[in-house]
Parts: sequence; C-alpha cells; structure tokens
Amino acid sequence: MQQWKTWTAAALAVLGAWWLYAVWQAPLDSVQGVIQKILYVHPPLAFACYAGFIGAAIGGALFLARGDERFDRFAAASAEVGVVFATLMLVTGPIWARGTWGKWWTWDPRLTVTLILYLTYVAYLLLRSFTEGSERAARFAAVYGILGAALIPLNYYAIELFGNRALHPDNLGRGSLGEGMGLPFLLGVLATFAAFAFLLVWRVELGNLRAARAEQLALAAEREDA
Amino acid sequence: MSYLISAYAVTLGALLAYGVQLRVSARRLREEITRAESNRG
Repeated sequence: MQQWKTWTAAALAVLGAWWLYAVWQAPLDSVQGVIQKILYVHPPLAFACYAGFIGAAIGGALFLARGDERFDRFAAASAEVGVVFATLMLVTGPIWARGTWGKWWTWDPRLTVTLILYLTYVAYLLLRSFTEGSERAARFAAVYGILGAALIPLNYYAIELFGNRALHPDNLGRGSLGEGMGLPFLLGVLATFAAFAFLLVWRVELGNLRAARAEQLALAAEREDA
Repeated sequence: MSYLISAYAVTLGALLAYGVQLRVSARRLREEITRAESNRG
C-alpha cells in the first residue's frame, strides 16, 4: 500500500503541476474566450467519475464471485471517490454553462442522465452507510453497483442517442480540439486520473483500517461476554 | 475570468479537502487500533 501511495503522489505532483502550466499557456478560444479553459477540467472529472463507478462494479462482481470482503471494500471506496469526482463535474459543468449558455442548468439529455447517474451512486453510498457490516447488504450493493454502471454508456452516448435535442456539446473526437489545446486536455485527463488513483489508494486504506477496528471491537465484546 | 477561476478553485479545493479528510481519518483510526492493542497487551 505504501508503494502505491508514493507512486500515485509522485504522479499527481508531476502531472498536476505540468497540467496547470499547460492550462495557463493554452491558447484562448476565438468564440468562448477564457471560459473555454474549463474544458481542461470538466471532461476529465467526468472520466474519473466513470472510472470510480466502473471500479465499484468490478469490485462488486469480484466480491460476488469470490466472496472476499476486500473486493467489497474496494467497491465501496471506488464508488465514494467516483461520487466526489461526479460532484465536481456537476459543479464545474453549470459554471461553464452559466458563462456560455447564460443559465446554470437545463434539462438537456446529457445533463439529465448525468444527474440520474450521480443520484444512483449517492443512493449506493447511503445504502452502504445504513447497512454497514452486513454481508447481505454487501451482496445487494454489489448487484446495485453493477447495474448502476450500465448508465455509464447511456451517459456517454446520450447526445448521439437523443439526436439534435442536446444543448451539451458533442463528445470530443480526433481533431475536434483547436491547435495547442490537445496537450493541456491530455494532461488534464492524466492529472485527474492520478488524483483519482491517489485518493482511491487512501480511501481503500481507510476502509481496511475501519474493518480492522471493527474486528478489534467485536473480539473485545466477545471477550467481555466470555 | 471569474467563472474559470471558480471552476478550478472549487475542483482543487474540494479534492485537497477530501484528501486531507481521508488522511486525518486514517491517522485517527491507526492511533485507536494501536491504543487498543497496547491496552490489551
């Protein structure tokens, strides 16, 4: 675990600093102006939130297959970190929207599906917090986490699926970024993934410590009863 | 410019706060575990 902490911290420090410098140096968009630079933080946050929810689904599937509690703890940690990134995606998106569309929110297909995805995993965390320590709840959470991940492709392809009704811009494709914008965007994605990995490692460790403490308390209670 | 600064400040501030909260919680738990072990011994 210590090695993971060191490597992710080093990656985050290097990529984070490089990313901020690249954002500072990135050219201004001729239509949107300086606010377009939110591009280097908003979509990367979305990708990291997808990673968190996919991690929760994979952890849940492995827990169901092998019955090892470590996978369940990993799933819970990944979902929580995913929700943190999703919250920030849902904060930075409206800030960008207010500056370009003139309104904070609209019931556009992409935005609506994003909100549903977010609430699905907030509910996942609430479910887990109310039923901590129960194996049955862990199994239910695993199935819920796997089903919830099905919303990710719907969220990603919402614009294509709902046609021209979307106000949200299309997904980025090859060559869709202006000159000089590719590197800061790539660094934004890499730095955000480094931040995601760093926080996930710490959150997994916290989950392991909580489990160790709960075991300690259970043993102490057993000794008192005996 | 203020929208741009808000977006970056909120993101970096929130991630930093979450990271600090994880570290503090982990340190407290580690101390609790160590204390309980030494009390048992």
